[in-house]
Amino acid sequence: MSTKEERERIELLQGTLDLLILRTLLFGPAHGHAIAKAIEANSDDVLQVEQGSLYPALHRLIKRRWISFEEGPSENNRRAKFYRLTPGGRKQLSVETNKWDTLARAIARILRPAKQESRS
Amino acid sequence: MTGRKRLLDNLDADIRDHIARETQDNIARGMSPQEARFAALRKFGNITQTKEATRSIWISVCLDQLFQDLRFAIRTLRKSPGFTAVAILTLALGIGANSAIFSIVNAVLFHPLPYKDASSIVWITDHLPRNPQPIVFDAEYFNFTRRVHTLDDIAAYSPAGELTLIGAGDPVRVSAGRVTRTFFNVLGVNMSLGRAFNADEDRPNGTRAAILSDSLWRNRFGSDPNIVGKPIALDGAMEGNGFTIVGVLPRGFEFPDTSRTDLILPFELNDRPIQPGHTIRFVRLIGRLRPGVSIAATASELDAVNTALHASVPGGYARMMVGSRIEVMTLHDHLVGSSRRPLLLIFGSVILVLLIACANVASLQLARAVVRRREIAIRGVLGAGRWRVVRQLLTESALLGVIGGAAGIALAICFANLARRVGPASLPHLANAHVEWRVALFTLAVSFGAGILFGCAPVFAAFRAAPATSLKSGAPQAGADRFSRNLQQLLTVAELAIALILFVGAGLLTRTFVKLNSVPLGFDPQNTLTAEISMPMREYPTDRQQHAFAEELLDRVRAIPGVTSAGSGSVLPTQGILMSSAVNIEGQPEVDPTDPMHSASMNANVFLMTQGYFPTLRIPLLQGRFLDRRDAPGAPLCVNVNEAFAHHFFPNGDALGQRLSFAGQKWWTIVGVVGNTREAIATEPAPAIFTTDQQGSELHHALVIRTQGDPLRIVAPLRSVLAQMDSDIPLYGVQTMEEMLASNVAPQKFNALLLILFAGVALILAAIGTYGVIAYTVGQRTPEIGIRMALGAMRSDVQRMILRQGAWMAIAGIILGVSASLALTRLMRTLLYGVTSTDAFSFSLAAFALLIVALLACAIPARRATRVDPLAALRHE
Repeated sequence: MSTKEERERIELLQGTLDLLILRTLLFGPAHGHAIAKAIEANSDDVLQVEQGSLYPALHRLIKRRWISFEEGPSENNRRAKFYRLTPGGRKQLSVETNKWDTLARAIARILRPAKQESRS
Repeated sequence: MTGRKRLLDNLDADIRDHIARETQDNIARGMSPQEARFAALRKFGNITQTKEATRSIWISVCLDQLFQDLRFAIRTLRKSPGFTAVAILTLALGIGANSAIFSIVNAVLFHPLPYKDASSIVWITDHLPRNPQPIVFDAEYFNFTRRVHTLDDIAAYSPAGELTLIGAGDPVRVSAGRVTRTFFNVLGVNMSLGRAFNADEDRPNGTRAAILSDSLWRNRFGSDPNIVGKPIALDGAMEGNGFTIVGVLPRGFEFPDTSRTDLILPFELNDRPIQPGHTIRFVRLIGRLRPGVSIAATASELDAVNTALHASVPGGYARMMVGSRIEVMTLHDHLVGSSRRPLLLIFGSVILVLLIACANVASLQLARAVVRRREIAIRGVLGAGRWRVVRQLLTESALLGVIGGAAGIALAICFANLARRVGPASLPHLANAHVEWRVALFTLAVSFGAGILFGCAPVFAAFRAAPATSLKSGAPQAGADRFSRNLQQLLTVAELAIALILFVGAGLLTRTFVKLNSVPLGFDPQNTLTAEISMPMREYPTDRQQHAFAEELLDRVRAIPGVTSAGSGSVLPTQGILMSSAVNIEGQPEVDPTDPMHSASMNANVFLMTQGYFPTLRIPLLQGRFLDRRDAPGAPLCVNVNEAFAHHFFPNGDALGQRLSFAGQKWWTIVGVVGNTREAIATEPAPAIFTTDQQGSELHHALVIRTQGDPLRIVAPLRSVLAQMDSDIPLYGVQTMEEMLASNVAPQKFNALLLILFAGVALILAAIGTYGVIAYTVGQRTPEIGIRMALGAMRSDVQRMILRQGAWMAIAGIILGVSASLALTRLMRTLLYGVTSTDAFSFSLAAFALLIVALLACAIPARRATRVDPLAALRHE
């Protein structure tokens, strides 16, 4: 794979990774490992993400104040850092989801015009 | 943002936990613990990269915010160019002066001495109660070498005298210091070539050896690497003139007490007990402290040893040495001693100016902050944290400070260059005063710190106002306003007080300089050239030959076109004395050499001269006649005396015809009384005897030549006349009489100019401060003024109201300043001449000037206040 494609892949993944994290946290606070597992599980293992890239994404989201964090005991009473969606993050999630949907529909229309015609 | 720090600190732990959990899951999936961990690590990816990527997210946050703050600060400053320019100028002046002075003080006061372990080197001297100058005798030195234990080594030296170097090119004057052979041991200095003196050379009639300075070796001997062992011919030394070079000093060597030494010769002191009739030589002492010994311990040991010696000397000398007290100080303290006070004075002034500058900018900032209160309140309401707003304000102030500091450094470099060029030569090491990187750093730190400091003022003002009321347009909030207004007024009063202090100081120093410049000289310095010559002993060994040469030279000089008269003397007026002696008057009780009190009152200075000296200098003849050609060696012994002598020794006015003797058995007749001149600008004329015949040496002459028109035009003809007579005799010290007098008072002139500069700057800054406060007040009180005018107040009433406010600030400043000055000027007393430290004229002038300046500064805002349109002002409400 050429570096340019790699880079494009990384950029795409940054924005989408942020979105996925936000979505995962919609159901409630979770720690880093749990978020990683949730993303994999909910995508039927299609999305294989280097778990390390999760952390820069989490910190980016914290910086933008879309998520917050707190220390707390985990399920087996170990210390863990829990991340939680903020109101701003919640709003951002709906905005981004809409954008994503619009984008997906637009691409679908271009790729499968026949389907559209048949529908209409 | 502290959460961020916590976040980053825990990042390592978070990652570890993550991997631990994944490992657990892998084990649950059936892997072995090792496999599980390995799989977890692989799935995580590059840990280092992750950490770096995460950390870099936050760095860009800081930088982003900083850039945002900076951009905003620049924009805000650009929007009010007047304020920005004034603030930067104010800071540049304050900080620039500060840095320049710091450099000078650094170079002069803290200059490290080029000796090994210079802090262990001490300078030793002996205070005698009857002698104004501390002195040490050679016998005392030898006694110390034998009996003192607290010093590792002790050496004697004598500051440089002048000799003529001949035999290699043109004859040239060189300065030569004399030292004992332990001298270089004490200083810890090694020769770059050759060696120091040995015992064979440093004894009476020892082998004649000389050590060259590095610059003489380079300039005169072409850096000859084989110079050691070569001969060198020096005229004017008592020992005759052939010397052998035994060593060359290292570069950068400094001889104590003198700015320039070209050569070093052995002292050749005679180690023998004090006997009446022996010549005593005066020496200066340095020593190296034994490790662990304190200065006090050395001083008491030296004192005890010295006193024991005094007890064993013959009666007359012992009486003279009664009450002697040894003083020991570090060599460094001795060398900078006399410059310390004026430098500290200057340093103090600079701190004051810096304070004014900071106060000014703080005041300006306060005014702006209150105006910007709305903007700050809005930002607060829109969600900017308090800390964010504060940080933005501080960034602005810090930026202002740094720009001011940079401008200040540029100013400091110019100022340091100027000081190097016009500063007095008496300030040691002034030539090394550069604005070095340490000073630049200090300046930037000061400006940054000052920026933060006076940035606090507007922050206070901004946050004393509750946002809600700030957002209301119109009537400014009384509380916050009064606070900042009071603070501003307080600052301005302080500035005015400081400006007054500096003004008073400048006034005192200026009056000192003026007084020094206008002392009655007793002679006419205009259109007169001076130059010095020195004859070599081997060619002119007798008095008659020396006298004849001088007279012939002067005759030839008088023949030069443009010369109206010429003469010579041993020492010129205001340039010190050659010799001082007890005088016996015929018919009056003889002076007892063992009674120091009596002999001090019967003392007179003795000057050698040729005929022509008095007429050339236009010193008046009061009685009798001048000495002239008749009074050559062989003629009856006659002298002239000055008026001070006549009054002191012959209060009845009958000096003419009386006979006196000094320094020997001959009797001289007084044939004339002449007007007074001084040995130094600041001392009153002392009794003096003038003679044309001196037993001993007429080798050195200071010529005085009066010309029509510019004296410097005859320098070239003068040189050629001298060269025609004897090409081995150098002409040196060529300058006009007026130049000579000017250099006498150069240090006082420098001090005065410097303080005038500071006072001027302080006055300008205080005026700006006053203007700012009054203008701001007028702005705030516009509605009130409108009401007053609507209710019938005249324009002149309004004007008077504003001016009154300025006047009371000025008066408060004057009172504060005068009280402070009365206390502070006492510290300057040693620098003053002819004025007291509480000189009423200087104080009144300063107070008056301050009042005028303050009122002028209020004039413009006062005028603006009268132009307020009452209707518009009320509507604005």
